[in-house]
Amino acid sequence: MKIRYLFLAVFVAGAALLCRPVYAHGFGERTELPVPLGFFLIGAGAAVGLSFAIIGQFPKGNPGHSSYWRYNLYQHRWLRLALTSPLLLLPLKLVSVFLLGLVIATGLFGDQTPSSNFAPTFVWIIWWVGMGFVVALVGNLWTLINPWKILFEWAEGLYRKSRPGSHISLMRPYPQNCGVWPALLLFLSFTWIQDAFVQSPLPNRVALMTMIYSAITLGGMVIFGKYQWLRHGEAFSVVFSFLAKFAPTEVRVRDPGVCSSCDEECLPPNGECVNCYECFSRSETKELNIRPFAIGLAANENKTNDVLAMVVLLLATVTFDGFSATQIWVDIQTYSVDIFINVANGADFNGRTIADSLGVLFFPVAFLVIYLTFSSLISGSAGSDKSAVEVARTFAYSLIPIALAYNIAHFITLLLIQGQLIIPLASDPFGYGWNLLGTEGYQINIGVINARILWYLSVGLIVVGHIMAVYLAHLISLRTFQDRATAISSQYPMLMLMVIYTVVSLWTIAQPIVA
Amino acid sequence: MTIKHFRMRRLITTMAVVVTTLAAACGGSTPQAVEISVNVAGETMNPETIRVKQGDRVTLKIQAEEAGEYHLHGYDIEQDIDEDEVANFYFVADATGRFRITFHHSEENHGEKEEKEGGQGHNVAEEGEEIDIGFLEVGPR
Repeated sequence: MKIRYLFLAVFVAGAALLCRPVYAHGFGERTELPVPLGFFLIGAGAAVGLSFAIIGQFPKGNPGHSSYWRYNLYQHRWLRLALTSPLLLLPLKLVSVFLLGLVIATGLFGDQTPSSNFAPTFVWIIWWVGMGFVVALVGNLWTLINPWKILFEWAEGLYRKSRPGSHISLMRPYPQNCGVWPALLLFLSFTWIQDAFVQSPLPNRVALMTMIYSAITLGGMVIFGKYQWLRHGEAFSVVFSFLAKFAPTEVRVRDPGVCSSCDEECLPPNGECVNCYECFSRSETKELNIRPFAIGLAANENKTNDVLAMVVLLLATVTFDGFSATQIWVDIQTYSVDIFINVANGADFNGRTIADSLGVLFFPVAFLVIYLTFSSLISGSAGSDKSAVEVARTFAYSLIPIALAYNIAHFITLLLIQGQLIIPLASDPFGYGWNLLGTEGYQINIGVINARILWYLSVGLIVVGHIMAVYLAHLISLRTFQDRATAISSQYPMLMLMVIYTVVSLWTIAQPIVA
Repeated sequence: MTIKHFRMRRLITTMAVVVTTLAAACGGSTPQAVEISVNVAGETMNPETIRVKQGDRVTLKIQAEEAGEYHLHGYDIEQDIDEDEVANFYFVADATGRFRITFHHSEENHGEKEEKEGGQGHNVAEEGEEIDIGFLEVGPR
């Protein structure tokens, strides 16, 4: 009986995978109008002007220590009890695990038209874009609702009940010289699927991707232990942990005993244990703080080369995602199709795929080369004996606000317009014609946000992101170089790099979206 | 009381003037009825990008060389157009943004597909390959 069901499931899955791709409306209903030239020029001018204003006006004080304004929400007993209550957390966890299951089920067994299936809209828009926004603008929600982490914890709990004192994990020591490279490779694959793989909107592909990734993540946690894998191998935990440094909330442990026994050397040089979820789960003296935006990116941490590579990949990916929709990239694709016409001319693998794949790989490499060049200029103009790579590591996080601001400007229309598809899909996740919640007939409101408001918002965000980046880099330079004069002269190359990055971001949103 | 009152009134008047001037400067023209002729030759529309302003009552007169289904996304207007027939797409351009206009060849096996889709007539139009032929841009007023 069981075997028959299994057979049926495998057969249906196989049949679904063999289906011809069907692309339909639903994806790309409305894209944003390019930002007009005037907005672009004013934005670029503001970025340049304000950069110099910040450096000129920077307070002389001693920013060597990284203290900043914080407000501990846990100091109110009732708030602490409410925020840590299982009444709040358990439903969140159940929903998260349910959604993971729903993505796989709808992807495999639902209608294969992307717009009438829950999986593609949920994974690509609601989760990937939406979760990124929430983590950066509110806090690291992902660490609470990561469904793989929850599943692992549940499994561990059950296992311990049956065999007290034992671990479900093999607890193999994680090879520390691997750093976050596994997460980097997985994230690169994810980026490739997103930007180069033609079939990425297809429900069964989304389900397959989710299943493979689930197996890798659960496997990683079983082999190396939960926190080791989440910190080094779970791509989204790693990516979201970078974004969470920007967020106006943090978790903090003021218990040196707990932190020193943490597997990871989570204590940075200044002795503060911030956003280490392993320590946080074990400590009694914990804080949940509200703090200024972006200040977490200035933290004095030891960054290794793998972390530098991951940050650069993240920055480049964001830029490429926007750039790949411009006319220039479409021309490159067309050119590539002509070149590779005899090698690859299928519907799913052709010159376009080759161009996009090269873009996904080439952009991060180009980005790294440019960043290292400017880093050696920084080192030179500060008269420092630090190598370019060392300088690059030191300043890596300071570029994140520009990427983040651009990312919001780039994706906000998709989230607000296309994201509405989730309303009818919630009622009919499989595309079978159900109407579970009575929202099946919902029509997308394409007028939900006006273009002019979006232009102000986009340009405003990018300029603000730029100012934050300049401020952070300056803060870091004052800590890194011995005196204020050296710090300031080190910042001119950095400023130039940031202006270039910002202007490229502005230029991209001033291009019509053609792909 | 009177002085305070007077100041208040002056403030309100000034604000009103500023707001009206700004509104006049930004608002520009009022919505109009516009009629735009569009020729589709092969897989390209002429003009390739149609530009209108928010609120305009737009009629696109589409003349196509090739028979098939033409679809303005977002506003979601689709129509089968025969060779050299002129079809009118009428809509009020309420929503700003950039919208795709696509085309797909008429399918010979319509009936077959309809059966497969379980009578969901709407989905038939979604089958087959969509070709981008141009864009509609609705700018803010």
